Amino acid sequence: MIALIVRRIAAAVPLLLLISIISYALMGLSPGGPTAIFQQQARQLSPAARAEFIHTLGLDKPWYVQYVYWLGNLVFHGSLGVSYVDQRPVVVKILEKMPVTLEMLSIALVCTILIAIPIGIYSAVRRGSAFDYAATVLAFASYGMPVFWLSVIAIDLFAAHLHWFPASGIDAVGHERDPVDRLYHLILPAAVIMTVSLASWIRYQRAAMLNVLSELYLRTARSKGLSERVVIFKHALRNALLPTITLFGLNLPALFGGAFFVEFVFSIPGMGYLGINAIFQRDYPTVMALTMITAVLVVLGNLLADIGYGLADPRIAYD
Amino acid sequence: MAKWVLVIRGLVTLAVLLALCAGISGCGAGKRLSRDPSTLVVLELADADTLNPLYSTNYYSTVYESLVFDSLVNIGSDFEPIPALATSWKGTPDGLHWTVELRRGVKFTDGAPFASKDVVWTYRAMLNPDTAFPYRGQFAFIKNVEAEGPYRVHFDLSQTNALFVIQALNAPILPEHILGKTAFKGQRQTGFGEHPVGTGPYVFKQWLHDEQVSFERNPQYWDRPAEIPRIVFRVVLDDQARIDAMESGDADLNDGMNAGSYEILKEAHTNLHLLHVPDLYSYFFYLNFTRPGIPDLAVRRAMMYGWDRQAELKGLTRGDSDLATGIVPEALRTWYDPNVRRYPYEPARARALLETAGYRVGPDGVRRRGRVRLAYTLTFPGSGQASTSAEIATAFQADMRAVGIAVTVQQLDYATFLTQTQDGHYDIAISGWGGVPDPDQLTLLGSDQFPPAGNNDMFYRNPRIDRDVHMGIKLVDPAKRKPFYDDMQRLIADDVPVLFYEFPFSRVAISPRVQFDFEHALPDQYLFLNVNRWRLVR
Repeated sequence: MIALIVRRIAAAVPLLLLISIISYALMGLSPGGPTAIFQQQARQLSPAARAEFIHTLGLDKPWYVQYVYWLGNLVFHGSLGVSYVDQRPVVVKILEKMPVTLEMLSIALVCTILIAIPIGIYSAVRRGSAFDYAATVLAFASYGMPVFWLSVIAIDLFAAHLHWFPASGIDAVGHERDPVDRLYHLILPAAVIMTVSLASWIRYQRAAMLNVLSELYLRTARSKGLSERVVIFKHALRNALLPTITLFGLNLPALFGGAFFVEFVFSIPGMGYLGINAIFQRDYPTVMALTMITAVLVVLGNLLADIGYGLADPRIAYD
Repeated sequence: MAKWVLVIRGLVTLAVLLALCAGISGCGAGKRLSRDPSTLVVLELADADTLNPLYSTNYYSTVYESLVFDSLVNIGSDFEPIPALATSWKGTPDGLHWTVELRRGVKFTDGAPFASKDVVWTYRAMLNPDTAFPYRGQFAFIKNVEAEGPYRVHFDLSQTNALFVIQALNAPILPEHILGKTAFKGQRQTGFGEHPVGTGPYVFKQWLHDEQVSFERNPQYWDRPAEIPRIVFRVVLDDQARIDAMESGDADLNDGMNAGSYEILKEAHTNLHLLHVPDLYSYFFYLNFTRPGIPDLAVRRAMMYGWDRQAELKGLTRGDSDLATGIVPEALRTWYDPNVRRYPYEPARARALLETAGYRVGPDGVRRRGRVRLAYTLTFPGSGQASTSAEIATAFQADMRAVGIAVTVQQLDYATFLTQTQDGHYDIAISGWGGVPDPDQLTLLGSDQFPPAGNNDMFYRNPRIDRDVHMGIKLVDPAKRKPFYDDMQRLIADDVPVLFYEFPFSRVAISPRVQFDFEHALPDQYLFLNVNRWRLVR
């Protein structure tokens, strides 16, 4: 197990390096520059002053030179850099925004699992039933909905028309740092994330359960005279949860990606909000840091999935 | 069996609990926690970037900094300079050498005394390239700053500049005893922007990024100390949430409202006080004079006559803005000249102008004269914090089509928009200009201000306007400057260097708890200029 982890991490290093080069190149080659942070006054900045500003940030050098500086800073000083916008270390900015995002994502994830797994199992057990068809149709419908679109629809329906939930932000004026109010604000965005991720979980769970249900050992169990309940819950379920564990790991980065749009539409000051603003303002250090964090999450998610798989299924050996 | 059943039961219980939580919080949402009545809660649309005036770049930073810092000269209700940390200033007749007397007995909020060394350090920091102060260009005409004793400062200028007092002396004064320990090169990393210290009416208290910034009154303030004990600025992006907070009394001031919110509150007949003050900005369409057809006055005037600005503005701001008559904003009451050539919507006249100038409608419906075809791309920022409404662009497109000018609409994100337009890669671009309490337009219109020297990325050239903008900035006496700016405004209206669009307004809703001199309220960040005189009543 340890050997596997070490091997996988070692393999991840060149991968992450490649990701960082590509991201940096894409950013460096994209039009516009960080003078956008000057917003309204940007036009008053003379081109000479703009050039000077660009020079101070070292952005007049070709992107690969900047990349070497960036990488050197990361490797030798362990620093992800300083934001162009407010001169604060990028790490501080991200850590500050992380709790809100994690809060929202964990609500979404817990609800997704709570809803998707029972539906998936029931669909498989009652395969071909009306419930199964309904669940399948719903799953595909939710899978097909773009998250930003669903966010807007949810705001329009539940906030603007029904007034059940607030349309944006994480707390009401006068309720700062109030956990109940925070939860109240996060329900709608979390529900949106849950809705779009529900589909894959239901389908995975259903397929896995169907797979297991056709196994011969279940027939053995039934022929031993075990009740259907014991057969399903004790013998089938454990094996059927395996692929779902994998999905959990693989889903992590997708969740963060979805959070980008949801946070922006709902104006939730989390990591996604930070990321989108950083892109608009061309705050390269922040953009790079967030890209790399997502990349690391993908690698970690894969690794976690593999490890989880092994823990749940003793037949899987690592060598 | 028991294990899995238990797990599932556990999960179901959790789900029920979560649902309950949601229910409880839903019911509790109507209830309000008791709110500190001695705090002024202000709603803003976005957060400051930094509170270090050497590096701040946005409006919100300017607002917050105005609470924490003082400048030598403040802005009066007619945008005239009034004494602040400077008690008086006097220039030599040529306007090249200035002596500024400083106020005595002023203390920074950490207790350190304010003196000439702070002024000298502040200006040297701004002027030194190592600091990388982004607006250094606006101060570059200051050649030297020297202290004479603790309460007198001399400024030497390389050329006379009318903006010296109103703009250059209006910069926030920073504490030398804190920042002077770091070399200019390291100023970016001082962290001062996270806990600023100044001499202002308020003391910085706490900053939760993208959520709120709070300030407490400075009891030692040299001027009348503020009456309101605490001010909290909250970032609330959603218009409806801001209106709700104002109506419920959770917030006292809604800054920077859009026309829609303003209209909703006006029609709701709440007891809120609604301020509606002309801004220091002017919105217009930049024209690129290197593009065929644009240098022809007939084409530019036809664009003005053929464009139903009034209808568009009415639709977008419900008639709450004024049509621009030029570049100098009407907010500058003492300078603004309304008696200039106007361009009402007269499409027939637009067509006649083009016809007379020899532009005939081609088979594609687009007018042309020889090789000049009147077809342009209209570029505008469509995303980010400085986005313009696409409706303005498409309405313009439709109006132009009716007079035989083809317009293609191009929406860019703000960062791309800026680099493209400032490098001159555009035909027509929507943008704003202004923010300075002075009629000067040298960097925008001077023919010596083509990029990279200045902001004339229209490549516009008019010898008479050149004379006006250069003379205007070289004179110090407002009475002597006025004729040049009167002439400039007339010429601008006649010659149409840009397509004038809108004089925007600052719209602010204020709770009846808050009292101040509404009559003389100024737009934008200047609203908070006399915040020490504001009061909260029961």
